[in-house]
Amino acid sequence: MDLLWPFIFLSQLYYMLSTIRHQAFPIIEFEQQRDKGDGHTLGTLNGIILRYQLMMILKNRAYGNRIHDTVRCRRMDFNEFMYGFLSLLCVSLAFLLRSVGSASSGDSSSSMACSLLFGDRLAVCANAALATNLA
Amino acid sequence: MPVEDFDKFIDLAPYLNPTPYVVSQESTLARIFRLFRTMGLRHLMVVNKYVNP
Repeated sequence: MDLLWPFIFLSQLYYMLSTIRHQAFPIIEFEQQRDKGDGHTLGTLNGIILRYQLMMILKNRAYGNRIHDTVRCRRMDFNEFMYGFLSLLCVSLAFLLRSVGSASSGDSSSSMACSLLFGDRLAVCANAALATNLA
Repeated sequence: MPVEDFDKFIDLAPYLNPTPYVVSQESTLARIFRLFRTMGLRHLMVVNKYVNP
């Protein structure tokens, strides 16, 4: 089986990477109460991760002894290199509305500035999220 | 990889792509071909109606 889980042992991952030559692995989430009567016992699809990303995690040793240790063991350069997906809570809705309002009232240069600002804001949010993760 | 790290844990949740391109197992080949070529995809998940890969 070429399926992974969100929390896995390093030995499982190593075995998977050494025996399967796929470049991407689906990640599933097991559900205990899943019996449709037609043999579908696999978990729900949770996402996909590339082999390259797994290799980067292993190379930078972004793992820990327990589940909660993994957050602490992440290196800063690793986080800068490979962003996790941002939570929607990171994005400030007030800022979004302000930028949209100024873009609609202003000219094209202001909308360009807004898009630049929005990009910066996302970067700031990413850094804030990473900082909270590291703390 | 050091052997003493084999019992360590990895949390893949921050790094996985939570919204991959998926197709149903009843999709037509023409549709999948068009999806690959237009979106520049390299990987495509095939799921059934219970979202099992």
